[in-house]
Amino acid sequence: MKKSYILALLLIGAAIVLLITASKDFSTYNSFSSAAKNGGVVKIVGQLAKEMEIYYQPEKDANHFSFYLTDKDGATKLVVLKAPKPQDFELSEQVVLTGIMKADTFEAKTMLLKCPSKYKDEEIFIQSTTAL
Amino acid sequence: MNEIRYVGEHLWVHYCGRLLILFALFSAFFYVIAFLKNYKDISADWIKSLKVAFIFHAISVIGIIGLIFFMMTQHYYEYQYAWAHVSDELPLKYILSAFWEGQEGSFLLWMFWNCVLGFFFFRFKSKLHPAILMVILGVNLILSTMLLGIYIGDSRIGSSPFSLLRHTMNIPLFNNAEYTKLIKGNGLNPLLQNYWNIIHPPTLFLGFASTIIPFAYALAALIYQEYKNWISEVLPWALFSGFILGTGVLMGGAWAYEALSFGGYWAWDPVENMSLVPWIVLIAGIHTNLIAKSTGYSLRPTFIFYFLTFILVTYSSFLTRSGILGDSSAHAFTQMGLEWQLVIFCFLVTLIPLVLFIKRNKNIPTKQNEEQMMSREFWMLIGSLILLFSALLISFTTSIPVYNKILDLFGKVFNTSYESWHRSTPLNPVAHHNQYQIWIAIFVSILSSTSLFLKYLDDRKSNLSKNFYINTGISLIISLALFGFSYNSFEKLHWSHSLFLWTAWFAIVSSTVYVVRIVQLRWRLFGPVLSHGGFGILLLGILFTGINKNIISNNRFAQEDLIPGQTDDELSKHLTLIKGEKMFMNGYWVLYEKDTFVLKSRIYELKVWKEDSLNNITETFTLYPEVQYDNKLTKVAAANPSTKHYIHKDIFSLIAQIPITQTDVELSQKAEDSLQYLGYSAKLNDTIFTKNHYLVIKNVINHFNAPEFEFKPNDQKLQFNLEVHQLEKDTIIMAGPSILFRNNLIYKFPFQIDPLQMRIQIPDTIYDALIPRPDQLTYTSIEMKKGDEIEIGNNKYLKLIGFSKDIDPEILIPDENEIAISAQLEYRDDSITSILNPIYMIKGNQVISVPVQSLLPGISIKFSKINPETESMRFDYFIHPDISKMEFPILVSENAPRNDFIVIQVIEFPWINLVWLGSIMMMCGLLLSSILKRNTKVNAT
Repeated sequence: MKKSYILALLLIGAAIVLLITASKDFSTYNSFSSAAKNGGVVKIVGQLAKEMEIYYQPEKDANHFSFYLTDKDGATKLVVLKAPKPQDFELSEQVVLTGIMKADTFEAKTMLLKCPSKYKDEEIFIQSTTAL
Repeated sequence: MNEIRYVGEHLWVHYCGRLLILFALFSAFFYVIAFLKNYKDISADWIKSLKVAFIFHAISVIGIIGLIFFMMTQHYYEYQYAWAHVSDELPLKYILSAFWEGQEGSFLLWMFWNCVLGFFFFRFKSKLHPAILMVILGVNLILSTMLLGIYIGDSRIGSSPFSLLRHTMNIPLFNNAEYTKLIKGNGLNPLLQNYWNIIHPPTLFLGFASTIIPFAYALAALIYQEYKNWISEVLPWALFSGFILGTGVLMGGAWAYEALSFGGYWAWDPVENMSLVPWIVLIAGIHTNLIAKSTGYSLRPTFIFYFLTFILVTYSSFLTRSGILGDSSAHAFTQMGLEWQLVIFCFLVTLIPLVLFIKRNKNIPTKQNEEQMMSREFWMLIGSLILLFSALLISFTTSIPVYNKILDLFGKVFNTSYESWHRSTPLNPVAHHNQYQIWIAIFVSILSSTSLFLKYLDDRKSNLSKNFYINTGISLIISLALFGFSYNSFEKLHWSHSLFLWTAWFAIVSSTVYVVRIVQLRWRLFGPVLSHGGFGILLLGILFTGINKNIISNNRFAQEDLIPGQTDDELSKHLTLIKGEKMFMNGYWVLYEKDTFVLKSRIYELKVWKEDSLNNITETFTLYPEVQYDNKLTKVAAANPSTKHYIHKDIFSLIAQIPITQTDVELSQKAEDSLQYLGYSAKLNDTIFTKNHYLVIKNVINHFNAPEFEFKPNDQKLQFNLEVHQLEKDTIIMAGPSILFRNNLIYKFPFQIDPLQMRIQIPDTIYDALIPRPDQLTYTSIEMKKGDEIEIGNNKYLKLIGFSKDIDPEILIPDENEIAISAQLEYRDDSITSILNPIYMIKGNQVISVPVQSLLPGISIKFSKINPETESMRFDYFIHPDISKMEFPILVSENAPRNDFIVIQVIEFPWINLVWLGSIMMMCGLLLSSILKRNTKVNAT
């Protein structure tokens, strides 16, 4: 057999092994209940429960921010993020969190916000309304 | 229904623009069809037609861009694109940024670069050139469909930059025929208003666009079955593309590091990944191209790599422009309904080369005997394949959202939901990618270093292997020594990182050895030296910066006192600073000294210093991080870092949070509304006891405290000067809350005493307390002439200075048969001088007097008659009761959140300059090679 064929086979084999191991890092989207069952670090997608309390008092603790999130199953739980509150948080349409479920609280490590696009009608800005 | 006839629109731009888009589309279409019909033997007539079609196309594209710039600079807000991206306030220098902020603009930028690149092949010097131009115009043909914005049934094709705002949204405003007078632009996202966004996108897009040249060469070679010349013709172009695309990607990293809040230069964000992947494959292609040029081996891989590069560019534009990355990336474009067009684009770009390659596969020449083990061509090919692995792994993970979409499609077909199969990107993308890319870097580094000492087949001689061992040996010894030397700079190093450290040194040393022992002064060979040595330096920088990155902004002792029960130290990356109070953080002292407002930014001044054990200052510098507000100045849009650069390290700082009152007008108002105030009232010099303090109103003055406030005549200003005493302490703090009345508007400017968490405001009821009710007014009349001064009370004087016909339109706009005039009266007593402007108006035979009721000085005054014969005026005045006997209402809150703090993040990046130096050297190497290869080609012909 030619050397290059052996090489090609080796490379394809290596590629398959690498891709399979890489795919083990892929995470799944969880709900609060599956996160509690799982016990480890998981990813959760949900919506900010806007009527509930959003707590952030940086002069007390800059790295403590908490709010309520409604997950895809409709369950609403307290989320604590050990980081400052991001800009435009209240506008978010969707929140993607990674973290651990501890008792009844989700301890988030990272957060990604999906904000509405700027092509929304309500953002049109009319000169006449600017005068105080 | 009546059609509304709109006034003030500039519709010619709309028609010209759409026409030009059609011209661009059809000229490209014509070229492609005409070429494919005649490609075997293009007659002189057809060559002329093809050239005309290209010129026509290029002019159309430039025309479209020109029109967009025109409507943007003219602020034609009836156009959605102008409305969405510019505003009256936007400085002209950001028009470029605004142009490519939207998808349409960035497609046009891509088309523009394609046209520019096309001009280099326009003279048809080589047989392949007409085909290359065909590929370029083919891509522009697809891109121009993205700009069509026409509907076929319910589905839209493309999104036109010339669509009218009233066509894109349906709101009552467009029932007004003169709506153009009412709208103003949204303006450019403040995050993008910096110079990086002027230079980064065009560079990156030139990089993306330029990958079409190797792609087109490869296609042309297959079309004409010309397998030899293209290999040397394409090389300088591929090198140029590698240079410019690499520079674009690098600029993205530098922008992220210098101006954005990422806290690093690379975050393995999907958008970053998909700009890096084509570059990696292109670099692999350049190496197989070099092999093919020198030995004739690796011809097929070169085709594949060059095809793949451009396929990945289109795939990357699909990912970033379709909105599919919304869940996983912080900075992809939003969805715009172009998904299917982008998918078709990707398929065409993949299928056409694939089919052609399979068709021609048998005819592509192959070398009979295989590469030798100890040859440069063999190990370079292995290296290229490892680069392909790198690209494969990065794309594999980045494509997760695509797998989810494909599952959804299957779900639709089979009418079931596969949502449980959905996966999301790794929880820690940085760790995920790093664990693989470390090994790629190690292998590539070893291969690229050793293969420098190997020779190509053609010029291999007998004694070379001896030299190979000597060179490798020297490099090995020196690099191991340097490795040992630098090993101690790390606290602890994982064994894979140790290997990484050694390979970085090995790459640097072997490039140096290559220069000293082989290249010497033959500067034509300097390209690979720069690139490979630069790669080593880059790796070294990545390791030092990555492993020794040090978060300075923490102070566990101080934090532990503040927040009971905080356990997760690792996540405490931020520090709260109180204005004027110095704070210790991880080896440094820091003082938040002040903040100033400039244009749309609040700039903070942080003094940072280091002290030795004897309290001598050893190092001192100032950081100026800032927060940037949105275009309407209503809320914070972005935080811009500030970095102190040293040769051996950077100190990076970023504002993570500021008080809510400075963050967002709306939220600030909410916070103010929910604040609990208690009401008190007292006479001057009486004592008010609140819960923890006591207050004394010392005096009341005619003043309003708000900075940069624009005052108008007849504004009623009032400020309390208060002493605030703490119970059981003898410190006194002065406070000055103020209030302003203007017609029906009230402006309050409360006074905040942060250390006491106290906020004091004057309630609106002050007006009723100070201004007499109409039934309490007993006017006294006086007659005055211009210049007269009359004493109206004990040391109180009125002087008639003059008249004015300019009346504040907010008070009164006289119509045609009305005459209005305002008097300027100067009031003066022991403590105050004030100008009062009562208004006198005649409407027919009716006289209307608009009185002035002044808070301070307390006086009501009417301009009630003009006597033309004696040229005297009659005024009626009433002096209000003396304020020293009055009760003043006041509101005090004693649990107001502090307003004088910021939350910061400070990170030390050691040796980050090596990252920049290494990357720049790599890019210089590519550019140098590109220029030199071009020269040799010219010399040869």
